[in-house]
Formats: sequence, structure tokens, C-alpha cells
Amino acid sequence: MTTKQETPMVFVALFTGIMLLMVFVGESLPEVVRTIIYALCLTGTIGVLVVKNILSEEGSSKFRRLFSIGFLIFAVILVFIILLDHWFVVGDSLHLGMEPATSLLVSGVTFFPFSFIFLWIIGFDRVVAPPEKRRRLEELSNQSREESIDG
Amino acid sequence: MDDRTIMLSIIGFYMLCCLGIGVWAAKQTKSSKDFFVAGKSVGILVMGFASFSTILSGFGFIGGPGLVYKYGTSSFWICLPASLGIAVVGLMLGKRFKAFAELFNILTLPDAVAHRYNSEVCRMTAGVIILLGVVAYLGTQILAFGAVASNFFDINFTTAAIIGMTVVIGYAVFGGIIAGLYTDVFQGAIMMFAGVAVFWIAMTTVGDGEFLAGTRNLTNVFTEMGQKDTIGPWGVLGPMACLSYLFLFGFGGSGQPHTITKMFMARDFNTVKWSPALAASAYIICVLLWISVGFAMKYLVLTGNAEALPVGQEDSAAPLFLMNHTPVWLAGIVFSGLFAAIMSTADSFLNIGAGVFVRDIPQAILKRPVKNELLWARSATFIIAICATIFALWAKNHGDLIAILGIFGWGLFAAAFVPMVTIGFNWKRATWQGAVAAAATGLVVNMGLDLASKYPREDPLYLVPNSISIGAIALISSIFVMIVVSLMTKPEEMDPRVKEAIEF
Repeated sequence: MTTKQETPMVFVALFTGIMLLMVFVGESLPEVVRTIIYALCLTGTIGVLVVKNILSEEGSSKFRRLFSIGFLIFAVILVFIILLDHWFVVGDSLHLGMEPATSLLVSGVTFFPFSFIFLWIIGFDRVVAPPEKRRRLEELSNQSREESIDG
Repeated sequence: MDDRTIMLSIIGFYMLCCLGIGVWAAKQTKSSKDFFVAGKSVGILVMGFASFSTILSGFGFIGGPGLVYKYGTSSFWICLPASLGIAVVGLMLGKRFKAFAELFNILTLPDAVAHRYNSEVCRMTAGVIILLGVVAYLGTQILAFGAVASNFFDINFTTAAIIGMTVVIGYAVFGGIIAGLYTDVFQGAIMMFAGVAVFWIAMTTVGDGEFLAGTRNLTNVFTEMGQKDTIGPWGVLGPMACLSYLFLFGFGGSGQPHTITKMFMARDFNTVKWSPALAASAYIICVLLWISVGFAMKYLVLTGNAEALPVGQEDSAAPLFLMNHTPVWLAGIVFSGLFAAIMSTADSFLNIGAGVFVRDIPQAILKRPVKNELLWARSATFIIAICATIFALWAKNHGDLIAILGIFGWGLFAAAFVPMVTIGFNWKRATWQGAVAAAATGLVVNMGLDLASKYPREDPLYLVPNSISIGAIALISSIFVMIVVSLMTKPEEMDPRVKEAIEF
């Protein structure tokens, strides 16, 4: 039985299911289409898991939106690499002697995820681990310690 | 002093430093809590450096450039998404593991898994998978060390492997994870220096003395020589294979026990907050060596300035470049960095392997910990190191065996622990049946597809299309199985503290 709460996980199951289909029986689709579907499902899987779990607190909707936009941009970067590779002849160079899609790989795939780390840092004390939650954890921790001493 | 003596002196100094750190750490290690989780008192700098230097094993310094030489930019999809991987580890496990470490007496990953699912079956499953992975990983690290050191020192393989493991045993047995962490900081600093220095030299070599001309020359030469695919965004292997690497190494990083276990050791939430940024930045700097040396060697071969590497010998790209194109003092430091990469990974594996023997197996079978855990932990570390060395020496002549065991490495850990830990510690509805089924799926898919692709030799039973990584398929399958089985089974009553930690 699934509830509304489990909908994101059902999506993850769906994404991974589609990825498996693309791996084993995707040959019937054109390579660009197959690759784009695979890339979107891949980013969707990671994105849904992160966004669903990292920031479930009330008041964190702004950060949740920012993370969602981040994963959307990451998906767009992957799709652009796929498309640029088809649009340009290999060997065409734009940036530092690299062809456009390779430039996007080196800059986008490497450095864009730092934006998630940046969001993590600026949102940490406000929504990831706010002081009131840390205090609650400390109380529980002390309680556990006392119980284990008593036991 | 001749070149060889200079290099040997630098490497000797490095080894002595590691042993020195081991002696210091032995004095700090007073309990099993110190031995396995450094007293849960690790700060930002140590956590950041230890996390990245543990991930970047000998594979990064030797195998990585070899892959670039062989497959071109395809290999970038293994190393460049590391920033995504480290971000995912922080985002999904950082505060969760800190919360579990605060609420429970957790010293090992299976400890945490047992508390999360309230299941000794889960503990045992996690323990067995860690042991299988430890054997494979340690075996490959010892083989890598033996291969490089025997060529470098001009000694036989066995002697080289024994020297390497003696140093690791020297600091890991007595100093436990404290020695491991602080040698990781030292080793990480060496690796970063090596990454920047070699990147500069490689690009200057390819750019005929001009750093910025490097990539342009590469593009021109590869295009003229008809090897255009090598420098395209997907390299030789194609888009599906590369995207699979992105998934396996970007997301699968959150399932590597030798890395994520370090999250239990955080001193405070500030460490949880800042260490991913430090680890990801340091990793990207080290990866400069990975991405530049393989291309530089290929460029030298294509322009007739070096001999082509024989098929199957691509891993010698980095050592050959270092020996022939870098100043002797730098080669000495980089070789120290290479040994550092191998040893920092080996010591982490020894530690988590010892944890399984001393803590998890007795807990799962006897329902109680062993007495004098610290003594047993040191003994187990020593025994695992000896067994792994004997195994690696024996397996050296059984190439297929090592290849089969190799799949128990990153791919197996990712397929087993991403569902069980990364998803399970964030999703309350996850059940122990789902976690165990996912781990079993990871194991079967990894082994099954690998065996099917290798046997029978002349006409393999099944080859995965488009060179897609078997580890990635195992990871995708296990996530799917985890969710489906969890939704189909009834969740156990949850300890209120576990609920608090998951909701934290």
C-alpha cells in the first residue's frame, strides 16, 4: 500500500525502472532520445531523493525550491552535452581548444554540483540543522546516556 | 646524490612520517571508540581531508591516467562527478549520521544499520558485504602497491608488497582510525601538491612550453590523427556508458563504507556543515593529475615523442610520464603521493574490516560484544592485513580471479549500501526486507553480469549493451528492488529515537 507521502519514492522506482529499460531494450530508440531519457531519469532519481529527504522541515520551502532548480539545471547541462555533441562536428573548438560539449562537461559537471554544497552551507543553520533541533537532539542524547548508565 | 637516491630519500621520509603519526596515534588510542571512530571528535580539516583521500585510492593516480590514455574523456565521467558525489554524501547522510552517532553507541556501519532496521539480519548482511568488499579492495591496493614499488625500487613484487603492508600495519594496528585519519591529512596534502604540479607540467609539455596552448594542441593533434572521439564529451565508450559512470560514481559514492563511516566521527555540526566543501575542493584539485597525465602521454605517443604503450599496459602511463617528464624531486613527491593514495585507502579498509570481526559478527551471533574490544580490534587489523597480503600474492597469478573480485569493490558497495543506508536512513517506510533484498540484488547482478560477460571465453553468454558499467546496472536494480520490496512489506515498529534521527 502506498500513501501520498510515498509518491516521491514511487517516482524514483519509476525512474530506475525506465533506466533499466533504456539499458537493456533501449536499442530500438534513436541514440539521442535514449540518452536524453536516461539522463533525465538519472538526475530525477538523485534529485527526488535529495530534495525529498534533506529539507522536510517547515519553512524550508525556499531551499527546497532552490535545490529543485539546481537539479533541473544539472539535467539541462546533461541534455545540452548530448545535443551539443550532435550539433557540432568533433574537433570544433570554442573554449580553450575544447569542443563545446567537452567544455560543458569539464565546467558544468565538475563545478555546478558545488552550488548544492553552497546551498547546504548557507541553509545549514537555518533549515538543515537549526539550533532548536540540535538542542532537542542533545536532550535525547543525554537521556539515552542516563538510561544506559541506569540500565 | 644521483636521481634515484633523491627519490628514494623522499619516499623513505614519507614512510617514516606515516610511522611517526602511527606512534603518536597509538598513544591517543585508549578504547575501541577511539580505535573505530576516533572518539567521535574529528574536526573540519581532518574530516574533509580524510574523506577525499580515502576515496582517491591508487586507482586515481595509476588507473585513472591509464583510463584516459585508453578511453579518452570517457574516464572524466568517473572522476569529475566526485563533487556531486561528495555533495550527495553530505546532503543525505551528514546530519543523519551525526544524529545516529549522538543517540546510539555506534562504532561501525553495520551497528548503525542494525539500529535503523532493528534487525540483526541487516547487520550480518552489511557485515558480510563489507568483508567481501574489503578483501577485494585490499587485494587490489596491495597489488597496485606491489606493481608500482617493485618497478620503482627494482625489487621483486613480493618484497615490495610486504614492505608496503608492513608500514600500513605499523600505523593502522596500533593507531587505529586516529592514525588513519591523520596520515590521511598528511597524504591528502601530498596528493594535492602532486595534482597541481603534475597538471602544470603535463599541460606545459603538451602546449610546447605554453600552459594555455595545451588543450588546443591536444584537440589539433587528436583530430589530425583521426582520434577525434577520444576528445569528444563521451570519449571512446559513448554516452550511455559515460552517464552510467556518472550515476555509479556520483551517486554511488554515498554507499562507500570507508568514506561514509567517517561521518560518525564528526565532533560537531560545524564539521558536518563544512567538511563536504573542503573534501570536494581538495578532490577536484587532485583529479587534475588524473585528467592531464593520460592525455599528455597519448599526445607524446601521437607526436612521436614516446613509444606507444602495449595493449593492457595502459596503467604505466602515469609512472612513465613521471619518470621521463618531471624533475626528479617532483617525481619523488608524486610517487609518495601515489603510495599515499594506496595506503590511505588500505588503512580505512583494514579498520572497517576489523570492526566487522570484532563488533558486528559477535553482536549478530552471540548478541553481545567481545570483552577487551581494543585488543581484539588490533589483533583483527593485523590478521586481516596478513591474510589480505597472502591472498593478493597468491591471486597475482590468477588474473581472472582478481578481475572477478574487483567487481566486489565500488559497484558492490554502491549497490548494497545506497539503498540500505542512503535511502534507508532517510525514508521511514524502508523495511529490513527491502534492504536485504536490495543488497542481494546488487550482489547477484554484479556477479551474474560479470561472469556472463567473461564466460565462455570465446563466446560470452551475455554482453551488456553500449559498454554500460555493470556496477551502475546493479545500483539501479537494487534501488528499484529496495523501493518495491519496502512498499510491499510491513514496516517494523520503529524505536522512537530512530524516528527522531530520521526526522532530524
